[in-house]
Amino acid sequence: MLISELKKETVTSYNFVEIFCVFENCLNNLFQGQTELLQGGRIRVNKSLNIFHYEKMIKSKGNVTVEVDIIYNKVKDDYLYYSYNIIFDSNKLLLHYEPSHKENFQPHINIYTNNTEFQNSKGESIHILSHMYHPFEILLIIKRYFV
Amino acid sequence: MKKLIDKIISLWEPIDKRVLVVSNEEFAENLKKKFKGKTELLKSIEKAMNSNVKKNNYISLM
Repeated sequence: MLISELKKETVTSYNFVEIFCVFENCLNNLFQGQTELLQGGRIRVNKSLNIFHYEKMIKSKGNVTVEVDIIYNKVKDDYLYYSYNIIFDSNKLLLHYEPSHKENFQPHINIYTNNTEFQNSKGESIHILSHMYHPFEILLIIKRYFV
Repeated sequence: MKKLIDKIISLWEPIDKRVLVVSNEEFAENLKKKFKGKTELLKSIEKAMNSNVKKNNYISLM
């Protein structure tokens, strides 16, 4: 199935495992044959606790690194944290959501170019507010620009 | 006794190969290491992890 055809169901505790298993397979397929380093990739489940955790790192021979880190609250049906980092050349795109991060309670994107974060004249990092990205949207971005 | 029964039952449960069931301690250590210094985040993860758990399952991340 093409990534663009994947149905973007809202992530919930009921479909979390299924969605991130599809994400995992598609991410591996995108970099098939050109992977230099692979780490993680399985969803960690604690039967007695209320958290899902998925982390993954792919480094391609084309020098693109994708790091994914997701923590999901099963009870509240909401993310506790997500971070999709795409690192290429000396640049980085960080798509991030961390509700406990008081000043950045909205999902946002950080941009680094030549290893330096975008900042205004006061030296404040510029965080571009975004919607909450669905994992399949991230796959589309990766496919479009980094594979 | 209940732990032993749970363990026996778990042996019969199908395990999805893509899902890794980890111990609470291992999980907690991993998170503490990963988010060292991010107190607010660790607090909120701890709160979420421990909601509705039995006292002997409580895990501290702080």
